[in-house]
Amino acid sequence: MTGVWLLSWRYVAHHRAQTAILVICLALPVFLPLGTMWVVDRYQSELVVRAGSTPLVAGAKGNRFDLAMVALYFRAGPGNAISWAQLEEIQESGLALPIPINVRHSARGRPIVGTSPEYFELRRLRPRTGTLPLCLGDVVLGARVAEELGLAPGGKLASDQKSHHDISKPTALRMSICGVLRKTGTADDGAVFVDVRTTWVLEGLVHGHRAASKVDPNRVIGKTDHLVHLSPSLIPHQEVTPDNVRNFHYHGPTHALPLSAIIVIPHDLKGRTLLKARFNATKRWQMLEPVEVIEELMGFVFKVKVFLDAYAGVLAIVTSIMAMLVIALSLRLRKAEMRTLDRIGCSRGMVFLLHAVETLTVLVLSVLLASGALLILAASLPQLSKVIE
Amino acid sequence: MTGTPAVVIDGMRFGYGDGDFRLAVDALSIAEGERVACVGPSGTGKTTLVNLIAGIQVPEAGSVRLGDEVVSSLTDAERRRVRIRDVGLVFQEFELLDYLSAYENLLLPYHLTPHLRLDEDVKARASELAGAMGISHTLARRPVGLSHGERQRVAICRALLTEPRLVMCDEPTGNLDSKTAMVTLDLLFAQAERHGATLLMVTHDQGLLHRFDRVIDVEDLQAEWTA
Repeated sequence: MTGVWLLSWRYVAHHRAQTAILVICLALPVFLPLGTMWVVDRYQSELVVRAGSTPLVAGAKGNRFDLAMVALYFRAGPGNAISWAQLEEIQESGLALPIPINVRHSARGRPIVGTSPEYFELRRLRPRTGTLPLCLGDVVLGARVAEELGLAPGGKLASDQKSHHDISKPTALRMSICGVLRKTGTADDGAVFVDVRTTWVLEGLVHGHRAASKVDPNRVIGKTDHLVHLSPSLIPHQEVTPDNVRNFHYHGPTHALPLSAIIVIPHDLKGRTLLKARFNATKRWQMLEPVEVIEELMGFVFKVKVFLDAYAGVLAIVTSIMAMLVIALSLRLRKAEMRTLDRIGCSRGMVFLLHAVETLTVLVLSVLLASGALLILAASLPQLSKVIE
Repeated sequence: MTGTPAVVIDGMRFGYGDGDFRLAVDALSIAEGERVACVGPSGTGKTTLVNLIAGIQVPEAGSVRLGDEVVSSLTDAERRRVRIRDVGLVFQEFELLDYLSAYENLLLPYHLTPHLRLDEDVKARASELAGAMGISHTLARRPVGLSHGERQRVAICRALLTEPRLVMCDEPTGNLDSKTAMVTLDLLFAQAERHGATLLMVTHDQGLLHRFDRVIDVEDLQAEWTA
């Protein structure tokens, strides 16, 4: 039997290029459907787990998927904003705990998420070092952001300037890093968290500048008894410090301040039902259950996966036929060699065994290759949250 | 030479399916240790005769005896067993496996059957045989890296290594130049004699015939065909 293995291995090793092509061709139909299944399963479980821990999401009427994605994965869409008034309405109803989510800006490409301390409780986010954002202008970094940008508490992080050519747009804000969150393997690792008021500073709605009485008179456009109009050329504070924090203010009714979404945690089923009914009865707002949206989304993914599975099936059949053809052609090419074995006195059983072991070797190598690829895929699956983001 | 027959053919009749060729040999006996050259024009049945004696082909009638075994009446599996154990074959085209080294080609029969046991004695014998044939330095190479003469010597070593009772060569020097052919034959004769093997060689080379104990012409052997 040793001789059979030796001869088979020598043959396979001698024709290594042909063997490698055959092995790859056979490994692919094994790897593709299994790999797709693993990725989709992982994708689904990640989405469902995060959606499942988010009972309700309220937002402006519009695309349901956009609203779910902004609340769960901080994907800022072009959708309309919901206002702070709706958050107050939920709070005053006593039926649920509302958590603001405002995602409109970024810092070095990472989304800046304005929220309240309850969000960290909901997601069980704890600082690895430092503290949560307690003051205006404070920022706590997701674990991956801190790792990738090499930042730590005590450092500074500037928001991205949306337009460099429009002076009416708010300037970038230099924020103080107060902490870094523990790694969770979720979208929270890739975000930058601030107090929701800080996001309004970024939008220019809340701003800080020297007292009007101390401003250069040339930058005063007009004055009334109660109001001083300052020129837009007056550059507001670009960093919140203990010295200037009192200068930050908002010139309008607070209930009009915008939010991207509100995560709603109802106290009971009755509260859940009532709130959903109230919000969905309006023309401007909607309240949805993220699990339902994600399951709907996964329905589309599974429809695509059916095609992928069918494709993999066809690929497997075609590859099997091709492999059989290759083996048949190989037998024809080896006719002279088989004649030699025959004339020397090699038994028919041994010739069959030689072919069988060679084919088996190729199959085993294919399975090993597919398994290796699947192992690599499995090892990289935890990084999938990056892809989802 | 002891005079004991190594090969005995009796009333053998053989024809290919299409009926174009028929070989009829009433009687042929080759003594043990005898060196016989088989000659004749192309297409007269020299290779067929070798194949029939080796049990590669089976006669329609009559018998072919190899030592004590009536090869012609054995099953296919039994004929193969006899062939790999008792017959050493050398072909004009060398017929070495290109994916094995010269050494592995030499040991090929031992890799192909459980009836031959590959042990240290065999390996020592292989090395000794290779040394005697002057190919020790080529054993690690693949056939593609060998000269024609070296390849044929590897093939001869393969045929002799199992210490067969009968060595049959089908035009072994056909692809070699005359000088290399002479050296190769010298080595073949010396090793066959050393191992006491009977030698039957198909050849067209008239200059070699004087080196054989007997020369048989296949045309002379051909008897009248009787069904």
